[in-house]
Amino acid sequence: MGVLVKKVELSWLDRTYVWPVMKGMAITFEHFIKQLFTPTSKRYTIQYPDMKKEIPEGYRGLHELKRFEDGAIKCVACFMCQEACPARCISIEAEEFSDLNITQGFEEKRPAIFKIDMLRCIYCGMCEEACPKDAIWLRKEYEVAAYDRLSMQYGKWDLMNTYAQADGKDRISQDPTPSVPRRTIVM
Amino acid sequence: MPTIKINDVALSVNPGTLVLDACRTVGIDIPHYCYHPALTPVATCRMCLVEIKGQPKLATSCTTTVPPAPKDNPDAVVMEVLTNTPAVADARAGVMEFLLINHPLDCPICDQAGECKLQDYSYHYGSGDSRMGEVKRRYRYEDLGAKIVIDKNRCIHCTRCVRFTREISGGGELTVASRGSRLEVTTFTGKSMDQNPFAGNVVDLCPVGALTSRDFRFRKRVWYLKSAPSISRHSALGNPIWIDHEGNRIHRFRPRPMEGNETTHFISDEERYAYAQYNRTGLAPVVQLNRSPASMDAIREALQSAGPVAVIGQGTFGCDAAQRLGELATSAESRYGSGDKTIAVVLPKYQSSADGILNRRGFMERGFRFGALAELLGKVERGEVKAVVLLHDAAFTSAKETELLLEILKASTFSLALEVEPSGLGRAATAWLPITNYAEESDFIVNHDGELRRYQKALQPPKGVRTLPAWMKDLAAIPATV
Repeated sequence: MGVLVKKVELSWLDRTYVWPVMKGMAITFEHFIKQLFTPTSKRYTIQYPDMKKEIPEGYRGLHELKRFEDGAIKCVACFMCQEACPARCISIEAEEFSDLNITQGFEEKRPAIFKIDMLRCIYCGMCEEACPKDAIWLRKEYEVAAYDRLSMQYGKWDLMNTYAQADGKDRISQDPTPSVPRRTIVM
Repeated sequence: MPTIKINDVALSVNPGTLVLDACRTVGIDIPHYCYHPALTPVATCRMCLVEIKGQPKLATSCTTTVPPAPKDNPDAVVMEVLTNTPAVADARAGVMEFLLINHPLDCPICDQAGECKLQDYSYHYGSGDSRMGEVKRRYRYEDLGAKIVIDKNRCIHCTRCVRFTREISGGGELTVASRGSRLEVTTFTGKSMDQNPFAGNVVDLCPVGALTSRDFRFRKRVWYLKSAPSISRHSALGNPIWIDHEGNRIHRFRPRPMEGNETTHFISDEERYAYAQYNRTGLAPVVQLNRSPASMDAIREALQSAGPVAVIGQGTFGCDAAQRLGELATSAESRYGSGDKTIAVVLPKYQSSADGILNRRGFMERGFRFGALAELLGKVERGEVKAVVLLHDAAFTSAKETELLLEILKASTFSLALEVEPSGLGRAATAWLPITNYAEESDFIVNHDGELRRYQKALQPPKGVRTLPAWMKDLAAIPATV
């Protein structure tokens, strides 16, 4: 069975080729006029980098390591994100931090090293999904670029400060000393 | 032998066998926490409940034994056990729910996660959610010393650790205090686990994360570890152990229980914490001749031209190494054994010999004579032996023996030391070859009881470091004629 070729009979107007060209030009002109009277923020083409697009909810951008109000890291170094990561870009080293052992069983462990290789990361959000402590979030920052490979290795403090400016928080560079027990002892 | 029926599978077993063990032989694993083959059964956890026909209530399979058969019919069916009935499943789910009432759900932090019985059984037999609305019980922290960390919140009160300190290690540091929901495993006032030379075993015994090792705590998640079957080099019996390693580094030793051999369930802390010395640090050692890097050919020529060769092997290496080393000796008499640093017997029940040199028997079977080093010194001084090849590990040689070995090395015209890392003795030798440590090679030993025990390679040796048989093959090679 052969391929059926549908033969189109062109009218005499179409055969002049002038009329179809004019029809096409009308569409172009219509869009041109429409864009002229649309506010700049809603146009399809934006003036990047002077202008930024509005990022939708659920966008998976640069990671943030969440912290408690006193600055303590939420991450407990359970290695779930490292386990889930399909790109294998996360490397963690755990440490014990509470000498007081007041917080024992809850926040006695934290990452000493938490590194994400942003060159390897594929922003799939698996780490966010795997995290049992809600400590790693992928948020709206998407301009992740650097001049060398080394600066694309984000360490623990880089990741904790990625959204500090956007959220109006202070940048931190050391763990606060655990002073107040997070959970009270009943017995 | 009486016959029992387990889920309609007939099995003849010796009377007195535990139902739990009988089930295991037909491939039915009954969940359990408090039962341990080396400890007395107490049936506190209630996890191993099974249905036995003719009995009104479910029975704990860890304490129920198979009754003897009637005299007139020795093969009679004496018991019918059912492990897959709804009643059993219901009982297990109930026990799991009770155990999880107060157990904190801190698996992300817990060091046991991944090898936790509570996790495993909760997946298999548990319900997946909790009806507990109240605040979970919290205990005060208690210090158990430098080796062990206790988290009583996670404890499920199986009392394995308590029974271990009472029955196996002695000392009885741990005890159960209070009653009911306030029950806790604690120490007697002022006691810690530091004095117990077997303390590390309670970590292995603990089915949950209540007892964790200060040494291994938070170092590595257990599912990243690869295990290689090996033996402990620091006991006379060569206790079977697993070498848990990752990234070419050993992270811990843990016992590798052998079926029907209760003594292999436990290792002493000395053996357990010895893993650190098998992790290499710094640069890989290189072949040396007269204290400068040299080629293998130069050493071979020097050895082959020196004259009669005697070998000194330390009884802590494998039998394969002993065999190859022995072949290098000029005569059968010039094989000498060394190594006299014995490891004290900490628990007579678990170490049948005071001798810490684990493969002495294997070396003796291969013609090595121990305690005859003075004779060798005489021979070297008289010039009957010109070259000495020394297989040595400084950790197993006393100061007195080191002195004697040093004299032998100095008196000989050519001496070759084979060591993992250069020691003071090795530096005194004319030539020095780097060999793999025991975690980096596969070999076997014959222990004092005459048991052959194999160990397998866990780590990759650095470049240029070879096993002793590989070096020996090169040393014994006939140089190519020009």
